[in-house]
Amino acid sequence: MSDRADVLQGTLDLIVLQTLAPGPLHGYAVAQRINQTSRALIQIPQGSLYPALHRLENRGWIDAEWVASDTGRRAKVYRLTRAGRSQLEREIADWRKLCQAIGWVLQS
Amino acid sequence: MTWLTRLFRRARLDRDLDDELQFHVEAHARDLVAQGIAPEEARRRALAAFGGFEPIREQARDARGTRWLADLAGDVHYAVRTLRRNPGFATVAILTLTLGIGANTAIFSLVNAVLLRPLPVREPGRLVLFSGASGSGTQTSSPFPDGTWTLFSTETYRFLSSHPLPFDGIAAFESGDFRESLGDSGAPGVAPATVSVKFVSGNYFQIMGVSAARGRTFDAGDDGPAAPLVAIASDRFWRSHFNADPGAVGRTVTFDSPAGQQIVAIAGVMPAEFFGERVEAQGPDLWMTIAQRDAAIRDRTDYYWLSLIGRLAPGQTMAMAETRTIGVLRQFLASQAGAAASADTSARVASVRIDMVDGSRGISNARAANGRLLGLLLSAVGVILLIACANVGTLLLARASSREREIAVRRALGAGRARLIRQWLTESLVVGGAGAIGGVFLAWYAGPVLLLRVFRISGDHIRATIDPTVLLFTTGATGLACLLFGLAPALQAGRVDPMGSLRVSRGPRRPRLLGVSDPFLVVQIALALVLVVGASLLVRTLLNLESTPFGFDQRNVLFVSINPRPARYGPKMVGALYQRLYDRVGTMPGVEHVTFARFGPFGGHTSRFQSTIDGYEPQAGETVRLFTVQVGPDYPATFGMPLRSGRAIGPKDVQGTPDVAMVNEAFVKRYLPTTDPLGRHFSYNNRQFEIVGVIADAQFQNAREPLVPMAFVAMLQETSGMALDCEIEVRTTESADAMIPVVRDAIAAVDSRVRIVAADTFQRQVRTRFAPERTAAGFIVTFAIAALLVASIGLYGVVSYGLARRTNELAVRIALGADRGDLVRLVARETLARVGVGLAIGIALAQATGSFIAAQLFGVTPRDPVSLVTAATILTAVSALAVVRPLVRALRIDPVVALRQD
Repeated sequence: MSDRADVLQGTLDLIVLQTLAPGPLHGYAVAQRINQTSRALIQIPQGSLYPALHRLENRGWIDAEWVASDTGRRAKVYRLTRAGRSQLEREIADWRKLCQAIGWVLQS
Repeated sequence: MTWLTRLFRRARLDRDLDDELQFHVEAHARDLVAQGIAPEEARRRALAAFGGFEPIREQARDARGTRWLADLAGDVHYAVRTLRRNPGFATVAILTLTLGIGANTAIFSLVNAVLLRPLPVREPGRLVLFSGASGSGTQTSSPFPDGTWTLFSTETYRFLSSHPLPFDGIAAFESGDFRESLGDSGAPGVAPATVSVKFVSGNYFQIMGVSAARGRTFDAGDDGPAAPLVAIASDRFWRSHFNADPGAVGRTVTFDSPAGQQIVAIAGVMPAEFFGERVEAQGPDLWMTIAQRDAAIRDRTDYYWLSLIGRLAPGQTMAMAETRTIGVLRQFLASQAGAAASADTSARVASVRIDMVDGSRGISNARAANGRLLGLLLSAVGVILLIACANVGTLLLARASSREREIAVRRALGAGRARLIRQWLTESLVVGGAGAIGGVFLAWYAGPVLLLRVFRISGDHIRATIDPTVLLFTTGATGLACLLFGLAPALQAGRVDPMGSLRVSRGPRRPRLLGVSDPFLVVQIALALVLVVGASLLVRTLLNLESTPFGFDQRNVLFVSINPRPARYGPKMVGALYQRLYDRVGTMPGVEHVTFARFGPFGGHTSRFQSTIDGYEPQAGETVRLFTVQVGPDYPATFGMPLRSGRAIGPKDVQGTPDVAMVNEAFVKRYLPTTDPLGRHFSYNNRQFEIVGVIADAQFQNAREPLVPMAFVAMLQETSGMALDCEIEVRTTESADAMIPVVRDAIAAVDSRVRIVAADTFQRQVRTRFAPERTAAGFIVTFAIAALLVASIGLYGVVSYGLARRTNELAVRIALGADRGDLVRLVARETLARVGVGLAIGIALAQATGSFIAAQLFGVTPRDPVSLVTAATILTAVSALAVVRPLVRALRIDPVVALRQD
């Protein structure tokens, strides 16, 4: 895994949850959306994304459903659960606090 | 997705994941196509951009958290494959464990079933047997027995049980066996079916602490003069006779008894697990109260036929109960003797005692004889276990040191230490598991076989069920040993420097043949020696006992015991019956001699009468109590007891003629040493006997006890209150076994109503007396064989392993010109040195522990040199055998091939 992935490890969950907040998406769409919203600054390798999705699913923060796609192959679509939403809020709060703290450190 | 799903639907989850990832790639490819790239190229780029599928799959599997299970399965699979590649090691190790665990479990379960298990009653710990209830049969004694009382008369029992003593109550049961004919079975001419009946006191079931499964048990009202004629049935009888009829309570059984046909009602049925108080016997079919017993037996004050069992009151101790009971009994006896008791009688009363013995486990012949052996047996069990563990340990260690290269290679390829350790442990556990399974099977099948064959103990309630605690213990112990011994090399594996091991073909160290497993091997051999010595001692004891000249010729003698009372014989008429039987059987072909007697040698009967002997002055405090047997004509000839002087009792010694008797040499030596005994007199029971013959000494009771003075009086001159049971004894010209049915038929032809109680060859009866010794010997021999097997397997494994490792060294030696003979000597010297040390330690151990079994021995001492030498020789021979095959294999090495393998 590259260095970038290491840095993102802790915040990966946060990013994925946030991406799913507006509505359900399948894995590929999640990757695309993150690419878009971060203005191509964050590229999550699939080797990290899918494990993250499964991990979040195991924890019960996202739910998965198989839907038929127009190609004939079925797609696994994830959506945020209620527990996931609370977790998202918690993680956002933590992130802001962290940013603030780092900011203070840099100012000193 | 639940944890359970993740565990069991791995395949499906894998497919799902694949689908998901494929979808991703296709979606990406589609986007690229939409951007104008050719489909082929788009797909290629999408795939490349995606990266590897495999890491994701692995991560996903890890994330599932069931990875360890799959790994374990993989480890086990690998372990099995490795073991299959080394069949020698695997076989040896697993066999050792199977033997160790299996033999141990079987034997310990056996020991438990026979020796340890408490009776299936309430609070068995409070039960107390009076003098161990070790008396069997009956004892006729007048006035009363001296010394330790094992049997009691009805009168003494009633007195004791009604007197306040520290017991909740005292119950009595007939110590002998009694069979009753069923009146409603059997066609004319065919012997009727019989049932075994146990006569007990009315409070027996309360004291024992059991309730009926159906109906009721006895109460006080059943044991009185006006008691109803009821019986309690055993579960077995209920099933066989009443076909497990739920309405059996109230149904009747008809007895064909001396008093006529008796109709007995079934008042209750006992639960299946209750069998009475005796452990190995069949357990009675029916229980009835003492009140129903023949008045002739029940009411005689000189007839001692009851064994007693008491239930201690809460808070009382056995010691206290013993003192109080003895005191009460002595009081009673003294009061019976009256104020004018002689000094003899008083001394007699003072000598009376009762040994209170724990009754929680009932009465057991095997236990009675082997009580002290119990500790030894259990130690032997532990010893075998130790040997087995040591064995597996040596094998594992031996194997480990030869796998250093394998470890080095695996480390070099990137295996982590933890992984390797886990792998090794799994291997050890696989071996342990296979051994445990084998052990369970062995115990399962060996148990019943052991019971029946080796120990000849049977009884429907002695099932050799595998004791789960024992199984758990032995499996756990060996499992632990496997783990420990597997761990050592595994930990060592972590320390191996991969490069170092790979570079040099074999280390510069010269490995010893047996190496680190030396102490184990020595211990195994020492322990095996101890067991073999023990076995040899006990076997020799048994042989000594059985071959002691008893003073009579056992071969070709049979006996048939009869009870004349069902045929309505009274004491006056029964003499004529005996005469007729004597005449009839005497003329049959194949019969050399015939006689009849109250009982024969080794029948378990005793009969002592207080006597006075003309010309003998008893010493102070001594009472002459003669061991007396009533016999018929030709008695000495039938038993092969030589007549020393005078004549034997003959057909003319009948009622109306002067009472005569024969005596044995011991009698003469003791009471009439200086005079000619012929013509002298002795008396008992107000009868005077003239001594007409002296016969050679013969052992009547117990091979271990000294010969006692005996008197043989004429059965036909007997004056008794009832027609007595008697044995027809026959010396046959050929096989006694074959003649048994013939004699039975002859008896039936004389009078078919006479009941035949038992029939057997004399030799078998004698042998039965040695059942306890046989049991003990059987136990230890089994142990010793198991120990020998295990130790030799261990030795074989270790030696062959050590030699395999030294192949190179040996090959080099041969290539450099060493003589194969030298190599053999080298190996032999090293092995024998170890074996020698083991033997030395073993001999020392055997000497030290010998005193524990000294009491069981007969004719040998614990330090018997013959046994020691034999055992040492056996072990050396076994060791030599174990070494031969690996040695031969090693010597066939082609040096060139061996060296090239490097």
